[in-house]
Amino acid sequence: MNELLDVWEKTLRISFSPPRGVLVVIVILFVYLLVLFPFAYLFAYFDRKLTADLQARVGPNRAGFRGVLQVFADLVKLFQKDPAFFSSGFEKENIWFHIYIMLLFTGVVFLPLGSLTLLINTDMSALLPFCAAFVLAFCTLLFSLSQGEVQSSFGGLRVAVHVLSGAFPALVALQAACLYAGSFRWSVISESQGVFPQSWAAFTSPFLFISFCVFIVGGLVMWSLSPEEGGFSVSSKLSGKKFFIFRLGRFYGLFLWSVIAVVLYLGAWNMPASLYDGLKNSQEYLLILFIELGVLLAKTLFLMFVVTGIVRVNPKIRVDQATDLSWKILSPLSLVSLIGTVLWSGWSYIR
Amino acid sequence: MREARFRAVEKVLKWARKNSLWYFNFSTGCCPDELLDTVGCRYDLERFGCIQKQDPRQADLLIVSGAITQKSAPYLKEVYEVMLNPKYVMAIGSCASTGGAYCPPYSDAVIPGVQNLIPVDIFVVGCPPRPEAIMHGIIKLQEKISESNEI
Amino acid sequence: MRSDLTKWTIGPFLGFPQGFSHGITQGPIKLELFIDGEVIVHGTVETGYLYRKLEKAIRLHPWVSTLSYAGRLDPENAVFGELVLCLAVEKIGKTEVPLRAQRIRVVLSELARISNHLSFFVSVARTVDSEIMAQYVLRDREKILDLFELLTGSRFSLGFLCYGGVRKDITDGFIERVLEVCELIQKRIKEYNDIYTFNAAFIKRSKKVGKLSKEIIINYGVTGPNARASGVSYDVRKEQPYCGYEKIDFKVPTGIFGQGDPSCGDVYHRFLLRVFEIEQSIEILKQATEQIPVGRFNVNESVQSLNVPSGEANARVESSRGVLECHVVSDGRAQPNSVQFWPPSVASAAVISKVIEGIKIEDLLVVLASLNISVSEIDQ
Repeated sequence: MNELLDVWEKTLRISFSPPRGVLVVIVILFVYLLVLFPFAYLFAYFDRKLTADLQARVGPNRAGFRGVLQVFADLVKLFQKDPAFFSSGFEKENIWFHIYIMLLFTGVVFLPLGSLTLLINTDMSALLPFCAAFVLAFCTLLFSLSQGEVQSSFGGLRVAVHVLSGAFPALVALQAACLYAGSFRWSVISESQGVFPQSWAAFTSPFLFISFCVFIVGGLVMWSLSPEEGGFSVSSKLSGKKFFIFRLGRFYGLFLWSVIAVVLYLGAWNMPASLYDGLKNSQEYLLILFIELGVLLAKTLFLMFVVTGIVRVNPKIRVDQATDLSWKILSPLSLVSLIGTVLWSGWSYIR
Repeated sequence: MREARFRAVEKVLKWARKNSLWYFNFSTGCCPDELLDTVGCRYDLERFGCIQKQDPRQADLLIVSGAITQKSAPYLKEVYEVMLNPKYVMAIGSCASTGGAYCPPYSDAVIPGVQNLIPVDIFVVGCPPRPEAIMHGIIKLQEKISESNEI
Repeated sequence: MRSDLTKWTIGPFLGFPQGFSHGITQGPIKLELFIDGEVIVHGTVETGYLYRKLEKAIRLHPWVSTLSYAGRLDPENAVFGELVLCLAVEKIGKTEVPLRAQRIRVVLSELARISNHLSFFVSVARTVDSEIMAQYVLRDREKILDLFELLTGSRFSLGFLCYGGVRKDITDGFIERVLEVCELIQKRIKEYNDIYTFNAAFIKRSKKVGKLSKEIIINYGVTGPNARASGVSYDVRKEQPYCGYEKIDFKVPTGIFGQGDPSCGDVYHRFLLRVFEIEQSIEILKQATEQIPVGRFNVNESVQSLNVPSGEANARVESSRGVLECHVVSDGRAQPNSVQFWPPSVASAAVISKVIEGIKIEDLLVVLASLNISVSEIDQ
């Protein structure tokens, strides 16, 4: 086990020699089984309950204690659906769907989930998740275009436009944060921040706070369009397992973005240094792993609820209005925050 | 021994089916108003795991609410055929169940009962039925699902 | 007509971007749109998917039963259908309706107006994807439906009016309940203003969208709140008062927030006008409940024994969607010779093809919902 953890710490370069490749697969499986699926389940359940609570309703309460098993029931039902329906246009759809699924499973490699699970910790690793988000959006677009309906094509175009317009200010904001940290490397970014809020990146300088806000709102633009519930649905033709995987993909996008936001601005997975050193000296690597995971996921869950809460309470604006907001307000603000951060850190350096 | 295990699996599958009846509302006439109130916060149909879906492909339950006329009958058949198995149909209101006030001697434009077009699992009578009646219909349908033998 | 446009059919039941079953038009409707990118260039409307031969069914029934059919003309505000038929038949028989019955009718129709406007809020909220607003409004609408249930025993199709008055007297405590609900709605209107009227996102979605100019309104004969939002002041309650509306002091809100405003008559104004109308309805309710006199509530002893002399009459009421007109011909038999309705939604539906020109397809449903059409009324 020790050896494995040592290897985890050293996996800067992914080589294709058998043991390391197996290790990568193990880590991905670990993330999916231990983090993403239960987290998706929890989020889906709490989302439904909290939404119902906001709407002065009760929400699901028949399946299991207080409806805890509702999402499970939905899942089991979706997997019972008869897939024999698909006939024409099936192949084209299928190709894009397979790419979508592959991305969903391999994208986990660059998820920063604690100091011991950083599989890819290179000098540009903070930018990689954005590439994943772009490709996810691209797959959604092509997938919806292949459905050949006016409605779903518009839905796909809309997803692409939202992601593109939201990603630009978010990327600039990310640069500001990384400038503050001094690197695009996950480990450096997390080490530059402390445990408590006053030492989190978002609250150290006004410009970083602006960039944090831009990042949040950019993420709202990117992920507020939920294709299942309203507007022009990409998923309208999906059913059964495909529907489930599509929803998982949408959840994954939001999750990825929230994790990055937490790592960049909200103190990442840091725990008190004395505790960390003590655990490391006594070689309790698993404990470190789980504490870090817990800290990170708690913050992430909180951020996701804030975001979805805002989305639930307000009416949705039109796609042109959302892109307007993104290009005309968020982008200048993000540039201001970038320049401000440059000056701020340059000033402290000169002094 | 083996059969008992299968029975347990069967039970779980049926339990899942009955607890997540996503519905597609084929809305004509007046009963959708009451369905709207049933979804609303006083009655809250989501407690039973029912969510409204905009596309019949994702739905398990087809709720026919209101009179089905000769002109809209082909669309109802189309919607029913598009839905994936296992699927259930619920007819809400007198118009959907029997033709109601527009049954043949008085009007030949309305189809006297949806059962002439598609198989119906449960009827809810009333003109329009109260939200409690609709919820009772959902509960009865759940009972029917858990007692059925097909898998 | 341009040839490079994409044709997009939004079926009567399927293919609506946000699902059709929200009650956006209260029934099936088919749209054929020609779109250029995201902009609708022109489109046509097809109705008739709910054609139930209502008029024929009415002709085959005795006079007593015709009222229940009239109530099903537009189930969401059944009172107006019943009321207009009652008024026409009473005109033929030259019946003097007791004052008490008239007041009860006013109370019922104003309650129905509030209920309908609240359900209008629900459908608008759902088209802008805000379920939370819809749920809050539904919660308050239940209170009004409770009042209907208390008085008549049913929530939607009331069947409470009859020729020459109302079927039953109001019970003790009903008036107090009505006033309580009025207070509640008055409080809630402030909340609605917070979540709708002053909400930046809602204003973005609804302002300058789906504009109806005064000329279109007059040419197409649109009545009711839709017309008043564009500045055309016409209300039957003021012009040809019925049921003692002339004794009640109330204002008809008419484009008060935008005479000369270039955006007058858009979705936002149609929404705002209904908020003002609810306030006026509460005003009317307060006065009407004060003035309920003691006395008979029906001219006839029994509802069943009814003789309508031969004759012909026309009556109009201001329903919550516009002017509802009814023409009755009687030849002295037990059944009516002919009963014809001219519902307000017909004009509102005719204007669809005009109003959707040049809007974005994302706004389509908001505009449709803002017209407050009942297909059940159109198709009969």
